[in-house]
Amino acid sequence: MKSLHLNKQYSSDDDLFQNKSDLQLKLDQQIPICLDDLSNETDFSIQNHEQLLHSILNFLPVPLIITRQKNGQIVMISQGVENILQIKKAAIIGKNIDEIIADKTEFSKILLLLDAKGKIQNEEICIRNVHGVNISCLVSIETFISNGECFYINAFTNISEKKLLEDAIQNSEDNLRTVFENTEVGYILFDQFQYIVSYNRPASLFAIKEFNKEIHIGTNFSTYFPEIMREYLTNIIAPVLKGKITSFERFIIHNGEHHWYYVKFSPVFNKDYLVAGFIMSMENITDRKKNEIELNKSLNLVTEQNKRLLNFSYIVSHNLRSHASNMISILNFLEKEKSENEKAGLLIHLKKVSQLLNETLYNLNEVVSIQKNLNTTLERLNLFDYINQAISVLNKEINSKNVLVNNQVPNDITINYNPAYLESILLNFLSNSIKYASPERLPIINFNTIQKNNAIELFISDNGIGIDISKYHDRLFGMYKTFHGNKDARGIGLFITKNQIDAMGGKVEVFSEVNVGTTFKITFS
Amino acid sequence: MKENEKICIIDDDEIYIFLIKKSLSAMGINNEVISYLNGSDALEELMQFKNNNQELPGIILLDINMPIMDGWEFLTEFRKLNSTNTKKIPIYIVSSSIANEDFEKSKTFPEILDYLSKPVELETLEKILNF
Repeated sequence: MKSLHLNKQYSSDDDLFQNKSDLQLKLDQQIPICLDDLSNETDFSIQNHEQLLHSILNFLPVPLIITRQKNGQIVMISQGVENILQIKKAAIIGKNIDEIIADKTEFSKILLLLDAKGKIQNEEICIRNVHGVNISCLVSIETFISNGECFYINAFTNISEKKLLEDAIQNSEDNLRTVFENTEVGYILFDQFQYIVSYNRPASLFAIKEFNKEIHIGTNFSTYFPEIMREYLTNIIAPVLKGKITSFERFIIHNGEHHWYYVKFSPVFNKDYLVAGFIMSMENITDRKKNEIELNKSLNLVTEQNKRLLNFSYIVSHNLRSHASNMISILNFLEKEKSENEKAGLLIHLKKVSQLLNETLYNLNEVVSIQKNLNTTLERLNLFDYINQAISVLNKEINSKNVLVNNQVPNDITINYNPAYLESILLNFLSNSIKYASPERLPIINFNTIQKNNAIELFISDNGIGIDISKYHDRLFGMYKTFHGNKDARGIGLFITKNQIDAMGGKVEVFSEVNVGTTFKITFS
Repeated sequence: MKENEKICIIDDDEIYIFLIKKSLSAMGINNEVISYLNGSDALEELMQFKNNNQELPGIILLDINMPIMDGWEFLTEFRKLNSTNTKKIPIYIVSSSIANEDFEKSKTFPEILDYLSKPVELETLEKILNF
């Protein structure tokens, strides 16, 4: 085989191709490409082989550099090298390949590998163009011998655009990962078979609180829940796997602390819009929930106060109007009346109306003062002592009706309360129980307490005549409501008592059965 | 209304009952007036009237807020008592309440001809008695 003159240094195309028209002619003659087939060609043909090689390199868009093995000197380059390095052939031929390699250490390693293997395939290397811009490439190197000298054919593939794209994707992924890891919301990504694909730090914290275990990639969703919950979870996941979003609020107690989470399952679709998995997100909404609970408490308080105010305005309107209308009628008669006797009779009625009006105003004032005294200083009061005090005050009535009163409240129970209200409440319930004792049996009244969370429930039970709760429940604590036809009943006691209990943030409930007895339950909060 | 028909007043306010009676007298209405301080007492006696084949009142002036049995409960019970009676007794609510809630509730009882707020003017009283 006739060797190419690779030992000769060419400084330009003109050196290589002294007669360009010859080259054009030769190319037009469709010269065979395969160099091996050229071994039997004439001198003319061999001469053309060298020219052919130069021609090929001259238009070859692939960056290809032929270097001497011994010193790395560049002897030939393809057109692609001019393009990628933005340099003219003349400026690079004869230079050392190191001059275009950005990372020389990396290149040395590749050459060592080449020595060991004989050829290199697609190793990543960075070359630098004439403007100093680094270009990422893959390099493949083949060796060949010419005239007893070893040469390298270095073929480069420009991957800088791919590299830029990869870097951009990596950056985007890094950014997403930063957001993912630093968000307050926990995320766990599952595949369609419910295996964990990825998760972030808040999700890991949630798992410790919720399942008391760490989460791991590749584990199944169901393994984090007890057997008993699996059916329930399957029901939750089923619609998600059909493409629907499911969410709920979850309450967890961890290390004695209360946590609220908003848990949401969202399907993840592939490019064909088929469910490829799902995301479980869990947002700690404890603060929001606490605020919501506080807001609801305030709303309930305001609603309750508003209800009481409306009720009060109804009472004021009804009771005052009742007396006022009687006064108007009496005065109308008085104006027309001529008989002195009749006038005297009307005046008696007028006096009675004014007395009733005064009494009503007094009672209404009582209610107003309860609302006004909301901020009065509370005292630590012993419930047992206060019950005994009420029994002592009503001793005369208790004895006259032979009532057996049992104070079964432990003597160490204390409540934070307004003393006057507690006294009034106990006297009212006790006097009611005495007043409505059944004549058919020995009257018994019991005082008991139950401690529930932070509240104390006081039960005042009697075996009296009872009341039909289904009939009178709504009106039981109303003003001027009486139910038994008792002449002493004014219908004000329970009304005032309920107002006092409400004002102190407590509540009163009643349980009763006609001819069996009544129990009032007072909750002191 | 006919002279022999009774006027029934159901109200826990004794002064109001006295004043109505006085108004009727001033208007020259001499019909018998029967009065009760709550719905329960009224119902008991009206039931006796019915059982004794005595004629029921020609008109009922009914208060709402009363002890033992209020006006609404009376109406429900009285409806049962009067269901077989072909003569429909006109009932007027006469109350101090001006609450819309009470006014609206009165509309749910077809027996109620009107809702009157106290004090009832003589002219109004005369009008409803001269039907």
